[in-house]
Amino acid sequence: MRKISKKKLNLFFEKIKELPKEKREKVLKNLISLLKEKRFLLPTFLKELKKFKRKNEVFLFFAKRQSEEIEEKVKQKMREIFGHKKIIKIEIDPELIGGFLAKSCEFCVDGSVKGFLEKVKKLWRS
Amino acid sequence: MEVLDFLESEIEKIRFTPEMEEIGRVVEIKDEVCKIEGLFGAQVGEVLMFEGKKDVFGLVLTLEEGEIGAILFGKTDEVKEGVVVKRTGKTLSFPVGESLIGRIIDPLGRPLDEKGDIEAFEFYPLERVGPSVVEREPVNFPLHTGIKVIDALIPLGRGQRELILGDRICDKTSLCLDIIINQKNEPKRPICVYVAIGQRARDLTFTVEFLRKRGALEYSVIVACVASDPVSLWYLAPYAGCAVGEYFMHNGKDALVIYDSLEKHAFAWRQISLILRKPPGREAYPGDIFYLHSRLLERAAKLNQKKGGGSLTAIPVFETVAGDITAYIPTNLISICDGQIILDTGLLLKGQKPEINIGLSVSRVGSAAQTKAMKKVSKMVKLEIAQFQELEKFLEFAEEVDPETRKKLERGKRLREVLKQESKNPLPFEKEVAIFFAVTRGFLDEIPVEKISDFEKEFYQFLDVQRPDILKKIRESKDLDLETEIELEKAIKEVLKNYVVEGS
Repeated sequence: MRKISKKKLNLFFEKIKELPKEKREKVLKNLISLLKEKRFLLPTFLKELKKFKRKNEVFLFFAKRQSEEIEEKVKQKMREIFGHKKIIKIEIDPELIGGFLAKSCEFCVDGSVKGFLEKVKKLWRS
Repeated sequence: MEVLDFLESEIEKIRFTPEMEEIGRVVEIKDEVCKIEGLFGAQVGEVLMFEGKKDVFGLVLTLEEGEIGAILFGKTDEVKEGVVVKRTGKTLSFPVGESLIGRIIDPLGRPLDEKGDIEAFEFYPLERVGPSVVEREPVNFPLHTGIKVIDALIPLGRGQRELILGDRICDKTSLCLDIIINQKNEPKRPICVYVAIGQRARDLTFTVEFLRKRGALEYSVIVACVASDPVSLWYLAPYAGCAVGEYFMHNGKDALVIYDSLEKHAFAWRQISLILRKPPGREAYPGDIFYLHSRLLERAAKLNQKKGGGSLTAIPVFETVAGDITAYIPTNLISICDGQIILDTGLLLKGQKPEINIGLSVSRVGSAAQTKAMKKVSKMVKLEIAQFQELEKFLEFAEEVDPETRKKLERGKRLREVLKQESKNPLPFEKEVAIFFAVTRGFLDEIPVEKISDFEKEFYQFLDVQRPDILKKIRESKDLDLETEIELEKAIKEVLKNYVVEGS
């Protein structure tokens, strides 16, 4: 078998997080030695690992730096929407003009001025 | 100030609440086909937008676990791995309307000629289920092709689907163009839609020029994608042509759509499917290749009077390899269509034009739509040509034959000569009736076979100049009554008399 099942890999990534630290290290060491031996599995494994990582991340964009209080408020709201286990990373994008934009790998919440203007443009065009 | 107030009020109407939107990311692109991660709510046939890329959009084709497959249109080189994709909730549609007549457009509705933007106020979906059984009525109105052998032996009706099959060297496109230019003088002229799929640009230029010179562009629409266009456009082209035809059909008019040719369409779908990793079947085509063509050709119909009485006639073309009509796609198409016209390389090499194999060609519904006049003369043509072909094979090496058989053979030879016709020279229906009348009644039996074509020319000329009333009568009544028969007989004898004098 030159391919790894995506489902099995995802299950592996989920389960490995739940293991106790010592056991986890042991499993990871075994995994590394396996990948070393069967190198052809590496590209698929890395691709799926990246995907899994992306699934757990939410990027929160602001037009400019906000106060900690506002950032925390928005973060809290985003956790409610995207899930409490997600890692929220804050980034600055001046193109947004104002407001915020939250993006996970599956969903996005656009609360930016840029998004609003685009919505207006679309409405007028139609 | 009024404008500003209006703008203000319009902007105030817009509710701005951030909403959760589904997004996906491009993970793989190969030859205008991409795989997208995410977008779990997307539907097959939905249009996708790419963030920050205005000139490119996608069409969902497959839904898999965690991924969707889509084909790209527009400036596809702008799309890279990781680009964010959004749903639009819309299906792909095509601009339709009267303004398309005389235009050359691509399968996305963009103009390819220099006549400016397309002015269309209606959009038709590219994929649509054909009319239901209750909306249809039987094919009952003829579609004259101007090609003697087709109109007499393999007649077409409006709303029919007739497949044209032939090898590379056979003149399939010429046959289609003949059919288009013959519609010019038809009383209820159909709008012709010529769909060029993956053709050489040079050939397409020739086709356009030819139609323009013969004045056929006035009632034609050309939907074209050339060989250098991406396969995604090849895939869409027939559906776009069909949407244009459907518009005219729904407005109570007749439309004739020619798909030239469907093997390129099948190639395109095979390429897309292989990239999308659909399981390959026979000849590496995917399992849904039959449905690809059946859903396209099932849209051809003759609507009933309640629905306006319009019709859409489909003429798909398929290029066979070494005359093999039993290959995978030809058999599929033969089973879908209401008949087939098979072009034979052997006949072409023998000098027969058009090189139609009468034995294998068939029209399943067209005879119901044939005019009375043509029915009367073609009945004899069918019988005599069938008998002649049998006898010719049987007596190929025989030297002596009885006078009755000799007579049949001679008649058959003359009939075969009459069925010959130069390409790009379609004949009006009334002249077809007149010449078939002459040959089946035995008037041409005395003329040597090699002089038949000369007689034909002279006969048409005589009818045009001296007896246009006969042609008019046949054209208007669409029947051949006793009186007309007598008049026609006189005309034939008149030409024959002159001819015999000249020939001797």
